[in-house]
Amino acid sequence: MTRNEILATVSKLLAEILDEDSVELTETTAAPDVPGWDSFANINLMVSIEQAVGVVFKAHEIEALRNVGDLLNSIEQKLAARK
Amino acid sequence: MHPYLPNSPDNFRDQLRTNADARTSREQLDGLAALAVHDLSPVQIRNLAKAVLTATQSLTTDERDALGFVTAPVRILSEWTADHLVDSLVVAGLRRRVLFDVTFGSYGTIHQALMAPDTEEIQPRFVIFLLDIEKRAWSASISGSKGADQWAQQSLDEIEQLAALARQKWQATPIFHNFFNLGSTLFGNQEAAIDRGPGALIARLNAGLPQLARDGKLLLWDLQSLVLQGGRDSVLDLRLWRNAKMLISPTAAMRATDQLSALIGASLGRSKKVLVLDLDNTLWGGVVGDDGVNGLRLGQGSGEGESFTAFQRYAKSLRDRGIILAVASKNTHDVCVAAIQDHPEMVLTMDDFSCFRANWNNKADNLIEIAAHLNVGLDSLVFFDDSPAERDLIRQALPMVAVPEVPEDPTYYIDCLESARYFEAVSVSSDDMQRNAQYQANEQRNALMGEVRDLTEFLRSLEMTISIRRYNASDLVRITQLINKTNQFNLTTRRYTEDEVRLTGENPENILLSARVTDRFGDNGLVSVVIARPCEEGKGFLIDTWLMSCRVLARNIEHAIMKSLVQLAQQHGATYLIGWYSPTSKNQMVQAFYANQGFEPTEPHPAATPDVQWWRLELANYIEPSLVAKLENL
Repeated sequence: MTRNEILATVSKLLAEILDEDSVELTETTAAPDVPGWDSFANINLMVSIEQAVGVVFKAHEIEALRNVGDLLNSIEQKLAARK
Repeated sequence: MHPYLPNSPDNFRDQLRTNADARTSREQLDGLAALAVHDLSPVQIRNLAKAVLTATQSLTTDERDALGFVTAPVRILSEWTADHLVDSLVVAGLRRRVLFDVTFGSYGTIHQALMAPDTEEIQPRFVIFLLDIEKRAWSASISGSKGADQWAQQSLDEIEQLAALARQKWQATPIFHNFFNLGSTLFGNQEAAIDRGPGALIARLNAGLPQLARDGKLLLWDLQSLVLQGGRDSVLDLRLWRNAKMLISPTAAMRATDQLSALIGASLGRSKKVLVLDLDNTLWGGVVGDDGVNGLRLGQGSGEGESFTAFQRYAKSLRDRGIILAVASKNTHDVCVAAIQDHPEMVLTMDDFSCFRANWNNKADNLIEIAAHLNVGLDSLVFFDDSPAERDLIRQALPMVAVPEVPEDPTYYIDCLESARYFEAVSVSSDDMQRNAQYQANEQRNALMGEVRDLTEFLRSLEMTISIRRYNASDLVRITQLINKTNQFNLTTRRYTEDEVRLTGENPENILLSARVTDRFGDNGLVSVVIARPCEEGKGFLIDTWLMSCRVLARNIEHAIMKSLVQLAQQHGATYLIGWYSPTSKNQMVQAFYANQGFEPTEPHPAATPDVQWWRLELANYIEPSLVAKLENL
């Protein structure tokens, strides 16, 4: 998966959770920038990413994420480590 | 995940949007209920719950009742995060036509919430306590000199006290979940024997809770069974527990709340009554018309045969606890009867089925006939059939019938049926255990009816005794059951929880009557309930509830009860009775009830909804009917 593909997947999952047709995410988007992306939506997003992409986050990794860029880094690292 | 639910349709989101445009509330709610019986993702659950809120927020409780949906105000008092359970609880409720109105007490302060004055408008009928298992099990077990028994007793006493507070404050039914180990023992295998450590404490607590449930102190939510099925991680995401105090992870929310909704649904009379079974590849392997009786796969010799035997045994156990069994099979009738009578490994016998429809007609027509024959609504039926085509047909034609998604492998038939919790019981009355005998006695009565021409003659030949008595605690379970499941002979269709019935019955100003009927064919059990409350400072009585089981229709039992009610009302110093008829989709048969009892139409109560009809009887004008039964007033 390329970084762009991961971004597209994350955007699609978040859109579903927020019941929007689409959400525009960039590397610097943070949760407070997106209406409805609260702590509960975030938990749902993490669970959905784990199921869709097949990665597992550690508790402290979730807490350390500041923006979408951090999230993509974390997923990329996990996918690379899997190979 | 959900062994009994079919996958959600690909166009779920579109269907949900289209449904919002439906013209009537009835179409909208029926459409949402149909969408709810799928295995849904957390996102789908959330959106469906939102749609329910939109569709119902402007409807009153009475309007919801008229659409066949019962409202259940629920208060959650929690020591852990439970907000994410609300959506799935709403959807799970929809599957049983229960509309949950959920409110929360402030987080983490259960005792305060019970002691402080209530600021919420809605008075709950159910209070759900969500306790912090870890805090209780760990902090208690590893310290101090007390053994697990003492610690457990202390917690059980606390639970009993909380339950009593909820009853006092709201007259609500308290619900407690049991406990499971978050993953650690201190001593390993012998923990419970050593009488120390969280494992020992949890074992003691879980052993003590059922006793409280048996004593009627609380209802038990068996959360532990979910853990036993799928393991701890299938229920709890330890990261989310530490991070957000979520005991039930979002992925387990649906399974957990489906259980909870079955429990509450059962106490509101929403459990199913009849299991309708297919035959070929459902009760046995193979097609009897092609393979012959000897070619059927059933019983010892193969895993598949054993599975069908186990499923038959399960069905038989359901029958023994009061669930009615019926057959709907596309088959030649005599061939099926021969198979059931002649196959040596057959567990079920022809006597076990209260209604048997093996023919080549459309199954939807057969189900309608079965419901009519048994005198139950179609929404009391569960249809269990291995054929996806037949299941689809019934889902389309009769959406009120419950249709579990039967697995391809018969090994898992029981799991599928059990996981749906269709036949959830809050408590079992002695009437339940006798039900099938009562249905058989009814067949004999009908046969007699065929011989006797004149109705009065028939009633006389039954040699009935009607025993009427005022509220007695030993009848509480059965009275509550009847109140919550009687639809047809029911003037007002008011539903009450066990606690509400007890409070009503214990108040000597009210008249709560129940009637039992025996005849020469047997005991019909407790079959009728009447509740009358004083009005106008005791000058009259308002008949709040009048209902009767359909087993004893057309036997003039209501005349005997009216006679007792009139006498009692007079003893209370009243001079009139007021009754009302509140029409639903099912109770047309009692439309003329008050007219037949000599009541006159009267002005409606100011707060009444327009379609309700009001009736009045001056006691001085009451004409005693001649009774063909022996009447005992106890």
